[in-house]
Amino acid sequence: MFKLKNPVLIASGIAGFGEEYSKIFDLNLLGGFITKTITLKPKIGNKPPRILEIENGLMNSIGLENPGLEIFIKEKLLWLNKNIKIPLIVSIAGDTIDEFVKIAKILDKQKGIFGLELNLSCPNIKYKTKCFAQDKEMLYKIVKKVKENTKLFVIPKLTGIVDDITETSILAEKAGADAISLINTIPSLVFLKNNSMFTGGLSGKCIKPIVLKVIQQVNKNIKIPVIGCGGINDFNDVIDFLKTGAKYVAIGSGLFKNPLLVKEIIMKFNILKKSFLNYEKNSSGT
Amino acid sequence: MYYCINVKIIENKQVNKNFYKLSFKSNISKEFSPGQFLTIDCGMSLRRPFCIFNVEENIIEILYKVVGEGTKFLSRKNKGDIINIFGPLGTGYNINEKHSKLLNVLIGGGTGIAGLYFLAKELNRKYNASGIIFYGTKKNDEIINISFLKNYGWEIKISTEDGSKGYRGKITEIFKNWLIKNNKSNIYVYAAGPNTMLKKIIEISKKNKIQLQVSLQQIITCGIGACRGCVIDTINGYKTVCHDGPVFNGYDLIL
Repeated sequence: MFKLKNPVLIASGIAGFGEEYSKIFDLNLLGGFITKTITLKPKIGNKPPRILEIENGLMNSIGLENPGLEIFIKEKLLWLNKNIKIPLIVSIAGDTIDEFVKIAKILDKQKGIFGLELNLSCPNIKYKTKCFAQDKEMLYKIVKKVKENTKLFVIPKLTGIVDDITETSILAEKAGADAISLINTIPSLVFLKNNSMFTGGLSGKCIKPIVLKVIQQVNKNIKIPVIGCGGINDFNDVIDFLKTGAKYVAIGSGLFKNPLLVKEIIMKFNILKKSFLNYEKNSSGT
Repeated sequence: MYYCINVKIIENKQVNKNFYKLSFKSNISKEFSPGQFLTIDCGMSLRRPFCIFNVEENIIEILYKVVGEGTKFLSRKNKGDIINIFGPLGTGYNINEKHSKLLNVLIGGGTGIAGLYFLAKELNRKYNASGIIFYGTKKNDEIINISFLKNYGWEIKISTEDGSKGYRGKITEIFKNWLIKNNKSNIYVYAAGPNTMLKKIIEISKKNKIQLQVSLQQIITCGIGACRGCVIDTINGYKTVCHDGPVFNGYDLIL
């Protein structure tokens, strides 16, 4: 069963492959670490500008820049295995079902990987006109095929931009998903001062209510755990996610505002846990 | 080593129409080198980046222009208020004895002067070097007083686009004309300012085979090179402004 030691993770892409953020706080405090998305071949990503701040939110258009599977294994995974003692979840993306399966098969043979997050919903990369998570048939096939080819936990990351997110999530569960990540950044468009357009994935405070509603709706209908993601900026936001039914949370752009955010949230959990344990100990003595 | 800490403001003074100088005390002051920056939580989704303007013992000073909501938020802070800083971030100017022996030419447009002030002081302190500073703004009321640097042997050439103080014209033109007139070789340029200005300075420097380092201005997301949000195109592919920069070899950039 998919189980992590605490509910707090960092969302894919935010902390790269861990090395940079490990200089700020101990990543092993986390429930697990999700890497930046890896593709079979290296990707140079989108042309800058890649970031736009809007009121209460952030848009990004990184375009899955990554060194590719080979360098990931040779360099990044080596570092991760040496330094990360918590469950390691590798985020992967492919252009075809076969590509997903190929990456999964190769990663399945590597040491120290706990699970694969399938990035089926990046707003900046399109398969035909939509992403895989918006195509029920493709979604089902990818999850099923990957699951058949690996013993690692499989966690599809879905988008909220579908007719019926409950149906999509049930489908992912049926295909064999061990957990699901809800949701990816939301495709969006803004006009800039010079009248040009910026398109990208929207994250941050402004999407939190949308994500909470998605989680509430989905959670009633599936048994696998939900990793909730979108707009977490403090401890109370985490509580809101857990109350709504998410088992885990992945923190994203909130880290840009406060680099110590995840550490502070986990510390708060630990203090609460300690006082509960103390309380139980004291009351059982009387 | 990165520090993400709360500090108490000693002073947040308006120095002219749009510019403020903010200072705070911290024992991390020794860890900053010229061209490096810190970010401040200004109440927005993204932190705001600021070059180090000056370090005096354990006092750090930044200079900023009020341009949007973030800097407006900061300008309202008073002495004694707490702000959250994150730094030192980025790769600053590469200064060494070999470069310092050339004629140092510092070119600062607008807020670009902030990081160059610290650089001018450090070049002097470390290598007893000085040179010429070209400092240009749009108008007279945007000029910061940097005359203190004359004490370290720096010659300061001020220009404004409307001619309200110093030479009249764009700083890039002033620099170009000076080059033509003086026909100097052995120049080493350090430039900071808006990207359009830097693009011009790089062009002029390349034409005259002058080595240069430039400091870019960019929106900063993670600040440590992890998220790849702030990349800029170079001859070696995309590089992060927050970690590989903000200071780059002018010849490497594709602006």
